[in-house]
Amino acid sequence: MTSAKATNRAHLSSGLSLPWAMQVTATSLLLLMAFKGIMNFNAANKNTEQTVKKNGRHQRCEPTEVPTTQKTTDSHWRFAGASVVGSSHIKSQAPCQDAFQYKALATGEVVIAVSDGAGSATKAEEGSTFIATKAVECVEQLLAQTTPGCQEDWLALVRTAFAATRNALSEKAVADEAPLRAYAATLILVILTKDWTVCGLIGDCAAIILNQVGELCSLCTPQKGEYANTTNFLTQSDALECLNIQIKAESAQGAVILSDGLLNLALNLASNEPHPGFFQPLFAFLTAIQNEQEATTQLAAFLKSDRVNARTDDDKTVVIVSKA
Amino acid sequence: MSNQYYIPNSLTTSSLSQSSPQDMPAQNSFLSQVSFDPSNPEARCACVLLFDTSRSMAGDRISELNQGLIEFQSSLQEDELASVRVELAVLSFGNQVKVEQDFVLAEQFQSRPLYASGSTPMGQAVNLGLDMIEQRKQVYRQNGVAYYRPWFFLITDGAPTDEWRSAANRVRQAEARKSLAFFAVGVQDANMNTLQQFSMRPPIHLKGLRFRDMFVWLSKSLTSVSRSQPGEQVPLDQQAALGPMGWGEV
Repeated sequence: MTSAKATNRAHLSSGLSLPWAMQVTATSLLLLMAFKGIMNFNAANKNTEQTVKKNGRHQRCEPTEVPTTQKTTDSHWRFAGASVVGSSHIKSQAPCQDAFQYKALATGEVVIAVSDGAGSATKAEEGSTFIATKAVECVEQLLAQTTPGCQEDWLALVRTAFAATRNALSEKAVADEAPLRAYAATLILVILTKDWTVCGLIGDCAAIILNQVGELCSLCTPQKGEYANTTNFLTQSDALECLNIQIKAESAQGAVILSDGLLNLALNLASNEPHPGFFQPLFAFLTAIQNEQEATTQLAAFLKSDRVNARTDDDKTVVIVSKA
Repeated sequence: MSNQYYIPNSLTTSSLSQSSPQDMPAQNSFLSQVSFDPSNPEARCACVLLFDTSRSMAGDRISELNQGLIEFQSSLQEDELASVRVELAVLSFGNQVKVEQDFVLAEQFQSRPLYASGSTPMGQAVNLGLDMIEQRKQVYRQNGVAYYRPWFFLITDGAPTDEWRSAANRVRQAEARKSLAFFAVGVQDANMNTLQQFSMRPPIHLKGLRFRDMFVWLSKSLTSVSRSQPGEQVPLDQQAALGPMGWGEV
């Protein structure tokens, strides 16, 4: 079945409605920086205030002061991640089409990307691998040049990261002399900072965070079309219109990011609520494990276990991150 | 056929229970404690089977069909995921249009022998089948159940004896909207030209009375659809006993 597009539209969190022209301007500005790396965004905006219309009232959006001392990481992060090929792909001798990338940046933020290749895409695994790597790179470059201080800044950053990743994939397709759709894959991007929790999604991956008071919260809702096997892909022509972004002005203790192979085990699909029995042991597991490599090995073994595969024969990816 | 606005038993959680964590390595006590959300109903793949039970089907034709249906049931029920995802409804058209089976999960499907007599009210049967599919989708939506594109499988050995063009148009329009996948199979001296009018997809002529091979193919195809992942074209089994397929993928 050809992939049909879900009808979700990009929406801003917290009911913000930024005039389109300002969004485009902000996005273009960041795109310019991302591609040419010329302007120092912080220097240009340090002493200016931006105002945006929120619910009909003008609201100040104060840019974050850049501290004079170098930002140090005041907390360390633990990671574990694994992608395992599904039994359906084993039967058809197709490779695992899931990919993930994560990084703790020198500036203290954590970035995670998970990408799930479309079953019919001829270069699905190449697409998902490229996308996950490129998305993390783009975010790293953007955060090296700017410190987002408000929701609008994060919105623009995430849109730029997705657009830049898609553009890079287009260029790769041209260089490889293959159609863009050959690399069709979903993308979820999660950024955790000491003040913010940010998620962008095109497709049906899921991100669940553990907030400061120990509650599990779902971020972006996995996107599904009318039929169970349809979703949005980064490669489709209106991909950026389907981009869903959630921003919380609070830090998270940890996060779990999943590809869609695990959705019906981990979430109540009707309400998008996380099933605590799935996530709590994962966080406990990460805390107990001393060695990232060992954690990855055990996670992979879990994903290959019989009881997981009784419920899903899709490729499965899980990335767990928590503050050490 | 009544409207179903209650949650039918078949839509409650599947019979796939959470298996115990006994197969987890002992040193990994945390991962062995991971439990799975029990509340998600399996996604559904609905299939309406429409069988011609007119007078001309009497004898070998209907008995081979009945035998094939038995094998269809067991083939589907052998697959754990297909059993809890595929839903089947059976309509027959002969003396009358009859709902032999309203939608039921494959694991609960029990085939019953069909008997041949009467004419061929195909138009009425197709219309009823289309109504049933639309109503089933409504039930899914109301109950938060995900579903795949439904299938419509028509088998006839003759030509319609009732008004059929409006039904054929409905099918074509539904196909254009991608709201179902329609397959027509003509047996012996069935009117293939008429069948051609129903669908974008060319009808298949059954070789002899190889209903069993056809049903095995159908069972495998439904099983594939019921576990297909986003963006996957579901290739139909090219080595089917039906010979070269006029269509490629669903």
